[in-house]
Amino acid sequence: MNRKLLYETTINPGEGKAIELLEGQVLRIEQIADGGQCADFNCFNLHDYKEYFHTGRTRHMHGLHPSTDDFLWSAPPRERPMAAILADTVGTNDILYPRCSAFLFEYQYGLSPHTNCHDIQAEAQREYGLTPDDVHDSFNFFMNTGVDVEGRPYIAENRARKGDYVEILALMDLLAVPNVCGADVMATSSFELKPLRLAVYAGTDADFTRYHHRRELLSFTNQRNPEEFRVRAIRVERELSRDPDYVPAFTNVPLRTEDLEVHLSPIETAALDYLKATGQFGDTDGEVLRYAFHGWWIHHFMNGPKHFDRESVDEEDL
Amino acid sequence: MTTEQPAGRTVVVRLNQQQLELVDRTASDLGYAGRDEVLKKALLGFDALVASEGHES
Repeated sequence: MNRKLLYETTINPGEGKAIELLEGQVLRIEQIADGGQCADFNCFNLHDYKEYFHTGRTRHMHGLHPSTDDFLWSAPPRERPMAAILADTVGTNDILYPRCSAFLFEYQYGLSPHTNCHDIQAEAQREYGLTPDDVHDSFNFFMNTGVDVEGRPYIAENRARKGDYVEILALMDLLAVPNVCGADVMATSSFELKPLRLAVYAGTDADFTRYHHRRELLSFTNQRNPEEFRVRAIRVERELSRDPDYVPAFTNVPLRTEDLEVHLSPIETAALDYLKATGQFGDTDGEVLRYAFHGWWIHHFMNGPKHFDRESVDEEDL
Repeated sequence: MTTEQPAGRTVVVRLNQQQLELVDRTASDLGYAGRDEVLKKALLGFDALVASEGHES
């Protein structure tokens, strides 16, 4: 696909770069040298830095290894798709691991100071007046990870090779902060740090219309902006103190319960008893019926990923 | 040979107003008469899901 090149640079081991990536532009992060380099990536809304990429919602929506056509979501209460992954030639990305940090290398290896993604991102985004406290967990492109049978994460050999790349389409004006992951004594980049090429292209109409369905993802009442906050000003004082005029106003409180009597036929009773006998859906008739309603509803009507377990472990992880 | 089925019985299910909103909206959307009908429909539907897919919590 022919896109107009707007900007390119190389980031070397220990470096990152804050880039203004406007809506419709495409950032390519490309393996050069021998490949095999993890690239941490983060982003902020260029016009409101308090809207930032959130691993949690992204992980919930797309699993632990997002790839092509998945979105990078902003944190609650904004919760909007900030960017889309247009291309991914490797298919091993991670949003389970937090960014590595100076503490991590000192604690685990006795190495201080040491290159780490938190400090690299903090230094890169300092160009835009952001503080180290403004760094948050990042998208780990090319990082090959899994979860073992006991639920513990692990890092495997990096599979990216020279020429491999990811392309990220900005769905709003962003400050994008990619960096060369600083972990050289972990398997993250197969124990060797390499440079990465960054290139910004003008996106094509085809790039943008590919995600025209995202408009549906921007139409929710509860994707909130600061005008809706009860506290709008960003606090300057670090010391916390109680507001004597505070009156709690939680949503839908008090929660009131109602006991419904449901008269079951013999067939319905048999179904209830079958579910109850499994021991998985509650101990009482009422608990089982309540579970059954919600389980049926989730299966048939819930938007997004279903949260009922199908397989807890990939076969290849065994 | 006859297969014995249990007699029907009355179940008391406790729901909060948010859950009842989901029940009522589902009943309305699907054209059911009311809460009873949708809860029973869900019970049979979920039973079938568990039996066919080995559905786990």
